[in-house]
Amino acid sequence: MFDADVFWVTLKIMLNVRGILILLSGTVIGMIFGAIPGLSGVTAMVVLIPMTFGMDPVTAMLLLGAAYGAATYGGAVPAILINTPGEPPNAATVLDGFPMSQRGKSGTALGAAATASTLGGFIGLIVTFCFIPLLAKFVMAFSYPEFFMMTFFGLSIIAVLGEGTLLKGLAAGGFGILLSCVGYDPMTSELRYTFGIEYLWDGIEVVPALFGLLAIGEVMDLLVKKKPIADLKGGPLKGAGVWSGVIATLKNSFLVTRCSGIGTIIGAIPGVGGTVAGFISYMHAKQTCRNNENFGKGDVRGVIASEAANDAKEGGALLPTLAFGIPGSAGMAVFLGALTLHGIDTGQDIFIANLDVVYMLLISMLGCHIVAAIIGLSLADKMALLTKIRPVLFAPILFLVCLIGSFALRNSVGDVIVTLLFGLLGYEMRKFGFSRIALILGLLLGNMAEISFRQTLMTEAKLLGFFIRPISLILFLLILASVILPFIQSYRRRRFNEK
Amino acid sequence: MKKSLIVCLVGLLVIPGFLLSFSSQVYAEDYPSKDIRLIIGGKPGGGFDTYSRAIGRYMKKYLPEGVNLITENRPGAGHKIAITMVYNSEPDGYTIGMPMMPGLYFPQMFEEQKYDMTKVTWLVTILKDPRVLAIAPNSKFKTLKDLQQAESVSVAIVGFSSETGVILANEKLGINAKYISGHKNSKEAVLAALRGDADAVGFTFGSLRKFLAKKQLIPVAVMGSDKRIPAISDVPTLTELGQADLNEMLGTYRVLAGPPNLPADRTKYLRDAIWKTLNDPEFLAWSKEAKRPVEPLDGEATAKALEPVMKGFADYKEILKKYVK
Repeated sequence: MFDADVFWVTLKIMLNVRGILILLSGTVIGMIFGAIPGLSGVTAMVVLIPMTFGMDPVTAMLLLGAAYGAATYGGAVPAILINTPGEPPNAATVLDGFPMSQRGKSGTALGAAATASTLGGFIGLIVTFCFIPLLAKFVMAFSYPEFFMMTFFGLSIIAVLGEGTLLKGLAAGGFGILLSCVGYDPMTSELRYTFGIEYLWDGIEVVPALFGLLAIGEVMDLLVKKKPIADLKGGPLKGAGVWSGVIATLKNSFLVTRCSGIGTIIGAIPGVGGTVAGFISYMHAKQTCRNNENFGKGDVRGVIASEAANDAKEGGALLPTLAFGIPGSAGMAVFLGALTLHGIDTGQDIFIANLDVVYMLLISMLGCHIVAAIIGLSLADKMALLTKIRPVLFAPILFLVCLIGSFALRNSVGDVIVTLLFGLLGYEMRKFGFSRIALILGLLLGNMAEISFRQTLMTEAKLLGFFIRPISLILFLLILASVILPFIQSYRRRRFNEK
Repeated sequence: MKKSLIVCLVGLLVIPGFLLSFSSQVYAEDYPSKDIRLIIGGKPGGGFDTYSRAIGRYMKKYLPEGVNLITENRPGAGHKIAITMVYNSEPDGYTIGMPMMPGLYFPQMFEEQKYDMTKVTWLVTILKDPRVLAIAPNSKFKTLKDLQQAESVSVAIVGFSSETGVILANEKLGINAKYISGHKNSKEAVLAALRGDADAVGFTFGSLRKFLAKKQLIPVAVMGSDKRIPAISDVPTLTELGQADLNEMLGTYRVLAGPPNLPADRTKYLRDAIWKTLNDPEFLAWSKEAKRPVEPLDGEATAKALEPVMKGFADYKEILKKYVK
């Protein structure tokens, strides 16, 4: 399968001044697009594709692969610093990344995110490329019931989020699922809960809602409290800490490996979507790590788990894109367009006819992770200073950036209004101890869960489909176990303490 | 604390107003004297987006200096948001759209919409893409006859309004189809068929081309094409299967259109400029390289072709009603 000669020739294309420059510029553009809320790796590629018209396909892949690969790390930066994921797949990073910033440890979080992203990206790509034939069969075993179980798995994390009481978490999650029902019925195209408002036809767009709930809610809180994000009780913010993040990640290398594995598999299954990857792997980390009581309050392992899975999933998403010509993620869909534009047909043949393009994709995505890690690590302590700025100066800018970001998404004023309304909601939810992440999970996954559930009912097996298919059944049992086990554990602990 | 909250609330009110005020209107004597907006319902990077941006790139030659055709993505509601914007825009020739036909006509058959596809000004057809009914290789069916005789055939679709043509064809061919809807796009539906979750799919030839070339799907009928498709020349058209009137109605039109009552001189200007672009050698070279075929039909011919299509579907309203509700 591996052709060393072709690989070497492809590598040489990158290893000269032009190649390195393209890699660098691709990575920097990707990181910037990823870090700005509202823009993403997909937008970066759409902007860059016309620039590749004059390039040969291999060089084009170098630029696009670098930009796209770097964007996922960029997305972690605002998630950690200002509680706003740059892209939805970074949402799980918020859970522990932002609390770390509040405790003045944003340097550590950024360092850990950069390292975990790089390792995750590496593992995802390498696993995918080593096991393409095997994985291709495995992916075909996932159908509607499995899709449902995967999203259900993602939803079940609401039960273990740990912010506020369980009942409040479930209420917020349920409200999110309700909100996800707004708009066209995905199966029959009937309108639901739109109150005659045209904007709601398409449902509530997740990204503007996310900006509102997390960022605007935070801005209002900052202005009211009049204190910078970082609470500096423990002395001034130290620029260091970046390396402690790197070391923490390396110390947890087994966790990184497991979470990258989870990310790769979820990424490889078209139709599930990468956002679930971060959450499932976060839940996995919370339940398997020792001393897990700090998860959600700023445990670096939460950031590591989410970021490793989040970057590994893009490696996985390459699999269906290259092997079947069916994109595993939105970014991959644009990739596919770019490949066709350069006259390359996807499908199994790509591994024979255009092996150099495949290798370049691999090399550029690996390369950009290294470059992104270097840039990320050297800038982390500077970026951490953001959390020290007085809210009166910082909050208005953040406020405007979020609004412009949500407008830029689809050029729709409706999206800006959604951001503002969810901002108010987010502020109130925060005040009364309702988990905002639970609401986002519901909004994000409710729709997918509904579609796959109803699709299962449309197949011949009907409801039984969930339980007669082995993978679906295993996933179901895993969900049961992961929801029930923590309760049994805490019960036993209480019994033990009583004795 | 209260003060800060008030500041926030004022901000909430002022900023959207600010954004809205950007959309002022300028009228000019000479046409065209400013950029023309092409509002599309597809997302960046998709088929609609790729076609529209390519046309914009090569149309520069045929527009006065300083005037561009700018693509604006307004995805959502199955292209309804984009067409509603175009339909209700000022008919000054500065706003045009790329609606999908006949898909956008179906909703107005059953419910009043904020647009009326029978009234828009047709500018050009970029391509009429026929549909292909194809069977998944793992399915227990192998031929069209198998499908017709089967008790029930599961067909993976995206939505009932985008696949209305296929639904009608199945009805007329006597195929007892059960639909699995809710797939995000045609590729996901095809994957469902490849996995064995569905027996058949019916999408445009353009979106199935790759799968057909690799024999991953078995084509059994061509819908909406007068001739057989050269790449799958052994597959009969609906006309050959005795459904000539239905055959004329099927097939997906990629068209450009303006709002109703577009002044005749501006319509002519746009039609000419777009026509020249679609026949431009550089554009055709792009089309070949990017595998985005074009088969242009001028504005009048487009109007003539689409009128019977819309009338035809209106005749089958009763059959289609049970799927759309």
